[in-house]
Amino acid sequence: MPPPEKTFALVVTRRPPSLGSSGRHLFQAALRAEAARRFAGREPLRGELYVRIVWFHRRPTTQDVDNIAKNILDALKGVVFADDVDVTQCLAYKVNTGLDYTIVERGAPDTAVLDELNDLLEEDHVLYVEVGSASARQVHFGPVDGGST
Amino acid sequence: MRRTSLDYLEALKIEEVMAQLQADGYKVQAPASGADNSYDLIATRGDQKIAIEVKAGSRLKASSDTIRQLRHKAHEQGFDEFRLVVVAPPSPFQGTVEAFEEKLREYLFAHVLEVADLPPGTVLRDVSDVDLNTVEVGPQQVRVSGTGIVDVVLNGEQTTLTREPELMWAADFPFRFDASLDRDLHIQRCDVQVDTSSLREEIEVLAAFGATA
Repeated sequence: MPPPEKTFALVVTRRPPSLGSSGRHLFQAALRAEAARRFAGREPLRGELYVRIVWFHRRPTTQDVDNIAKNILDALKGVVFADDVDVTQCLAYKVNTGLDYTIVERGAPDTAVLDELNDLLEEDHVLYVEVGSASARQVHFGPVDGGST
Repeated sequence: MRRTSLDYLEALKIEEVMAQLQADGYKVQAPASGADNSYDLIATRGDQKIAIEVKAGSRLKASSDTIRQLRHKAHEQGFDEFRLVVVAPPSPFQGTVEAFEEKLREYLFAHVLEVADLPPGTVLRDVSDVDLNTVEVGPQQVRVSGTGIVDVVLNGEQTTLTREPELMWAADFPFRFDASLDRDLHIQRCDVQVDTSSLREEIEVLAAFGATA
């Protein structure tokens, strides 16, 4: 099933740097180049948007999850979406793949990117980024994983 | 076919997931074991229908085609969700050496020139994300191995990688180490292997800005 028009996803084997990290400019340049390659021929997404960021890492890390989002949003600005002011929801996760975890695919995600993700999950660092419409303007309360398996 | 430890690990996880889903009010079916192209579990609750596959983390790549087929089949068959449950083998090691990251940082700052994998002129800025894989305690010494991240500044002139010798740029690389500590836990020797394979990629990014040879 092709992905809906208003979504975009990519996966790269990169460790996202922290906000003030010295390597952030190179990371952003590489992520922007990869996004431009995958998003070629499409107009930047507009309207209210969500961004889902998932960092899979094989070993425990002391890096905070709240420090990785801005570098990624800045890298995608002007390529995947016109302006980061349009991003009204940002979900950032870090997943230690050295422990058990579950990937839940709901709705109609980009299955080609999920297939690609699956092939990379044994790598040390894998970064998945998904952008889509948040035009329903729903606010959800309660546990984000439903508290179940 | 003889079952492996990973088969048992997955089987235990399937039972655990099944019990959790049942506790959450789902009716859970386990299609016949060994059936071709079937999910490990199918859970239903009201109109909601979920397909579940359980895989050991170390089998994800080898099971790539199977997972891909199941994922597409679940979407075609109108399941509301496809869940891939990844189970990790028990961690072989959990332990620590007091203030080891600080000790390793001090050691590497003093010995950065001995790390052959780094280009000449490299300036070490930080050492972080140090994780231990093994600790062996002997009568005279303690051996510690693991991984970490070095944050460095590379020098364009020394590396001869760019047309702009004054160019310096920051990067971080993963590394593996094998250290010997004395009985007071001071590092006496440390072999370090820095994985600079991403350097070529960094240079390509710089080339995109017209800065490299």
